[in-house]
Amino acid sequence: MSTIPDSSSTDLDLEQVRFLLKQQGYVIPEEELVEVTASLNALIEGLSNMEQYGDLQNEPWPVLVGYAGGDDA
Amino acid sequence: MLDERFAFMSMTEQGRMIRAGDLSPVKLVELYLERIELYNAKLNSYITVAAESALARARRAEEEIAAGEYLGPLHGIPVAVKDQMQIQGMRVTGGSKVYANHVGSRDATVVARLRAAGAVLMGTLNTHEFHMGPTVNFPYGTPRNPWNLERNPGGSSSGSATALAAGLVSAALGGDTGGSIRGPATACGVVGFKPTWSRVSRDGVFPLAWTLDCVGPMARTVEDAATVLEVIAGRDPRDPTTSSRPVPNYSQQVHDTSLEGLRVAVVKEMYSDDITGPHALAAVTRAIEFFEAQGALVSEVSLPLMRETRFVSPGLTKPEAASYHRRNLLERYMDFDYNTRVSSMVGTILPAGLASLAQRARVVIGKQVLDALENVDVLIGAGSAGGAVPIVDRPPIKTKAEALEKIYGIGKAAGQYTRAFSLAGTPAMTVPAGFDDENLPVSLHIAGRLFDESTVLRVGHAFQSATDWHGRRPPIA
Repeated sequence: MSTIPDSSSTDLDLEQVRFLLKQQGYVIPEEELVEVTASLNALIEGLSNMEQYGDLQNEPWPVLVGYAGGDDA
Repeated sequence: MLDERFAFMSMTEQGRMIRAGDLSPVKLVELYLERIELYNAKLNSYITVAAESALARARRAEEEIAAGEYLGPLHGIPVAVKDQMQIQGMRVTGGSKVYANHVGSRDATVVARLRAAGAVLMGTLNTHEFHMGPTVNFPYGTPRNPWNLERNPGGSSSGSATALAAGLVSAALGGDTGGSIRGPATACGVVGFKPTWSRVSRDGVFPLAWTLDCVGPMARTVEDAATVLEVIAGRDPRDPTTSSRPVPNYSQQVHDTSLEGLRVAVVKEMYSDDITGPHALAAVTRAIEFFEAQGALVSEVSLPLMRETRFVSPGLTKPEAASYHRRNLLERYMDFDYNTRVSSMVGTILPAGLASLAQRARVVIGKQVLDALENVDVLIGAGSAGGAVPIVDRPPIKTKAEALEKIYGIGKAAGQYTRAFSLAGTPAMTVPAGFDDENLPVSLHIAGRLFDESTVLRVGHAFQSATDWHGRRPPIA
């Protein structure tokens, strides 16, 4: 099985990513699978690090700031 | 044939001359068509050029104006839109092979509003595929920067910026999810304006990420951008997310250029030499000096999480885009560009808990922006690290370390300077503010409070009225 050289114990490996994609109906070329795995692991790491900012326990904004029915935000 | 200086004239000035009968819309369209013929093969600004219908509409505009049926400052003005907005009877591709044969069945609301204002639609402008970027293989030609053909014009509204810079259109529309209007505007030395999220309808516009997408004007002057914004903004029953707030008279308010007592804060993270180069820093320094000389009160503020937008923004956009394109991805995977495929697959399987965390982080970053605007009128900083970067081949990424550096790195990506304001939903604009030592444009980024487009525009117009950066022409043109 191919591996990502700098993968740590918490990173997804190629087979796990292949499986997750297959679950969603995708079978993709091997070289793309490598980049998807690298990019996904990087994004997971970056977002996971956001948890160090403790005040993320807020409710997501109603991003629809100008939503219909109101005349303001 | 008209002298080429008319091609670079501001839209506002063209409009005045058209109204007075001193400039023929037909001649103006002919001039742009001739220039498109000359330069589009090099720049790849346009995907579709609607020569015949543009000339027909220009002839009609000329007759209407002569008959006293003047519709306003866009009457007879040649405009073009990013190949993202539906146009009845015209091919609209989203910059993708997937929609290579797609013809719009009706106009997007923004297009309909441009037409109702009398504008002449010249065609559609090149874009990164489905506005994601960075596209690896552009199916309709690689967009090139008129200031240096080997440089990247930025994206995803690449064609809108290059067409304006090269004098191939009077005004344009772009789309901005994390900086796709402001980035290319900076790289090409034109004005790019992202309105408050919900200010302008997205009806009939290919989405990238629904919760962030904005449509906005791109132009050679702030005054032009204000005029176009006034036409396209406002409540649209076809887009339930649009605000019903009244649309101010931007084209008049922009002329209030008094900056006495205006509270301006420089964003530390956008004016810091760890990532911002000397020419972009110098541009901000000159702007600060200008604002102070005008009586503005300049202070400094920090947006500590600004650089974390490199994760938060894709944490939102990738899953949304993957969801929108799922059917086509399942059926026509290889018709998508490599970058779109990889990005969409990441978005497909990003853990839901982290996608939700990205939504929460958005609030925290957005709140930092809004808190900073509690006590000041505008936030300013560099619009990019420096001049446009070279166009280079992008080899596949093989490791997480590479991905952290090349996809999510702080680096020189213009997104570092723009995304926080997309997450906050605030209006934001880049205006030309100088050049680097390779004669490539740099910009000043100006952001304001939610729905306070007017202040952003008038600050930008005041700055532009005192500088001539926007008046320079790229070597190709």
